[in-house]
Amino acid sequence: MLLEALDISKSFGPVQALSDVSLALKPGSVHAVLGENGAGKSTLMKIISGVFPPTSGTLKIAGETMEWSRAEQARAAGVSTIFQEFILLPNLSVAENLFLGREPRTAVGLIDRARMHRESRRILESVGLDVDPAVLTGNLRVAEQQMAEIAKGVMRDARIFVFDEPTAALGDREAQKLFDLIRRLRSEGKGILYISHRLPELFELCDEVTVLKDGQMAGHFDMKDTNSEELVTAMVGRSLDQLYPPRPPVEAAGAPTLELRDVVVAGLRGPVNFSVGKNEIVGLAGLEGQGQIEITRAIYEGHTLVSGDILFNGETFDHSGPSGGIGAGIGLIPEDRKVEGLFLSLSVAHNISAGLLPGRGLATAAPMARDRVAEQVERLRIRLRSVGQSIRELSGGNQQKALLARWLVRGVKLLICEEPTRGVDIGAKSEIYALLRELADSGVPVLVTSRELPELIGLCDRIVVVREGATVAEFRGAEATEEKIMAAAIDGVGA
Amino acid sequence: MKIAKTTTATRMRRMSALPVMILLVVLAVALGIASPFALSSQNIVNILNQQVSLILVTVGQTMVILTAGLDLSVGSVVSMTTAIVSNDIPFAVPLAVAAALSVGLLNAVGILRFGVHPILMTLSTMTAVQGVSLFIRPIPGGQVPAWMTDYASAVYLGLPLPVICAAVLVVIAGVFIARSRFGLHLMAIGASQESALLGGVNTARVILVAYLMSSLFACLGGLNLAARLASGDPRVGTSFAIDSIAATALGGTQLSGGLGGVAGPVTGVLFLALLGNGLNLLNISTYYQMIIKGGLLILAVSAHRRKQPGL
Repeated sequence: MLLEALDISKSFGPVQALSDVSLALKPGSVHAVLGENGAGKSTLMKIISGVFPPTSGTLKIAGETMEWSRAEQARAAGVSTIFQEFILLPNLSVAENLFLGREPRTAVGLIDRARMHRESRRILESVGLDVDPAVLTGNLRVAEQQMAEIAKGVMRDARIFVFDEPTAALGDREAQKLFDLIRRLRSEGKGILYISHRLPELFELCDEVTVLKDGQMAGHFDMKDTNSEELVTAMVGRSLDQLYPPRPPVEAAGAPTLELRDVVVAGLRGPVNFSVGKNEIVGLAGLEGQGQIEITRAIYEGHTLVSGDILFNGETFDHSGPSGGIGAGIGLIPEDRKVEGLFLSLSVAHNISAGLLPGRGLATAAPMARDRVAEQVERLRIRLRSVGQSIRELSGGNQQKALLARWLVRGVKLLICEEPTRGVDIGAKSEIYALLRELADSGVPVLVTSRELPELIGLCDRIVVVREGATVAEFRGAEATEEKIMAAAIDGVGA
Repeated sequence: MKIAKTTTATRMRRMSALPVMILLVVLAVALGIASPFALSSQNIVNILNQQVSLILVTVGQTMVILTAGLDLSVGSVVSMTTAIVSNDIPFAVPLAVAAALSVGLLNAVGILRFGVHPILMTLSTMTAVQGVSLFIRPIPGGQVPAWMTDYASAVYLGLPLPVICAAVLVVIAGVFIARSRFGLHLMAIGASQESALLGGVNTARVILVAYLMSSLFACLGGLNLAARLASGDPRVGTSFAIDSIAATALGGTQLSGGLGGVAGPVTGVLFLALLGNGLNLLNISTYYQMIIKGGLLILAVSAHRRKQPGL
């Protein structure tokens, strides 16, 4: 065994992140670690890479028990981690990054750049990355930076490579290139630990898989003896077809809550025509960047509206800024949760009660409706230690629920949800879908945009396809297929 | 895009000093036209000699700023140094160096060990060390060893010895920052301390050395100043912290760390000095001078805004 983790446990204060997890990595194999966000994958990887020590348990590399507490020691033991976030330093050259901490020196003790570049070129070539080692790392594409990170591991004679969701920021072609490289590392007898949510790529790449759930072992399978259903069941504790809530039967359409008539949004061709009924979940589909977000923002903020009417319960409303939309009773959960949605440095309670702020003067006291916050936390099953906890510490799914709670304490009449489940694990996804459906049933319609067609098809009552800033087709959720939507999204012809 | 892709890291660091160098040339030409005396070798040597202390302090400050830190205590260290060496005691100079290094050590310990923000930590030591200086020498006066005044008045090849010494130190520091592991690690830490640590840098040691160097260079600045004044003054260094930071920023070394060098900040010092000198020669009131300096600083620093990723 190249690496053995035996009964690893890790707790952060009262939170038990991992309990008694074991894992064995064979040389020349790719071992997947699968689990929802918060299942403990990243914690396990960080222990293996020496970012922090386990609370209990032992780690053996090539049979030798490791005592380490720092990344340097982990690397010395032959573990190279390609982290999701701590990539290379953008302000250093590629060669400087590769050799950081072990730069070759000239006779007078200065960095021997000529030698560094020479050796870097050789190493970069070996991983198939064609860049000048003297260039600024920050100017490389993410995929290239990852390759450089791998090159760093190769250079340091790592025997174990840990990949933490490496394809999250890659396109298909780049991902394929990465897989080729991983296969090559495998053929050279290296051991690879591979974390990902993306099931299809695991089947393509991995030999075995360990599934974690809530910090515990939920199963270990040989990839060739298992299938997605089994893995998802192990990961979530229930099967995939229950992911989406059942759609209610189609009702006779009453007066729509939201109606867009011949709307043209600044910078887009238009026109946009669609409506959202009182108990509906409506999805905006389309290829990426066809104006979906611009349309939702035009509804919420208004000032990008060039012409046409946006009617809320049959009436126009103030389009001078977000306060107009909020005033009318519209809530928005933005696509970039961390930047546009949350106040990351504030508590969960502050983040949720922020929904009560709009419309209050600067001199009035900030509202802190503890009971209403607590009520929503319970209703949405937001998992936290206390509402005073920093929202940064919550998982993506719970952060998303907190944003939902923000609008619920305010009591919105229409909710716009951009990318409702981006960066959210499967378990929380299904909870969020159920909540959105519950909202729609209670008379608060939901407008959703998503890059994931299956999500729109599974969730929405109606799907409106957007192409070049104009609505081009509309499908009932039950009748929609990925093929039909894609055809409309690409050719602009409705069914 | 194609251009960006070929930008090497070394080139980017060198380029950071370019705008201030161009500014200096433009200013020099403008002043040369406005007042012929401005570019006379006598005036230039004079300016250089006056700025030796600030140049030395700025070199140290630059090392700290490259790590995304800030050292506000340098001015107090300058004052304390003059206060110590102006006393007629044995080993006054080694004592002053030791005192300065202990300030640097204290800064580093507070920042690394107790997680105090660099601004707060060095603000605290700035205040405390100012107190120490006043305690040692409540009012300006005293006398420095004779060899120090000899040093200050010595001239070789038409250049004052302090200017020669400063030039040598600046070149050494410049080469060191641009081409040594220490310099590279300063910049790695400036971009992201955590990534630098994971990438293989002994971040604590590098940061410790940066603050020690900053205090050491402040001490050298203080020694030079004491030699020039031939006495001690407990408040003489007050403006050094702000001036050194301004010069560093003006010199293209970004305050958020990770990019820069020594050449730019030193040019920044010279630019500000020449500007003040020129405005004096043009007989512009000190009040206007301050307003002009402040405005120019904003203009110059905002011209440095970068679009590079992570910077």
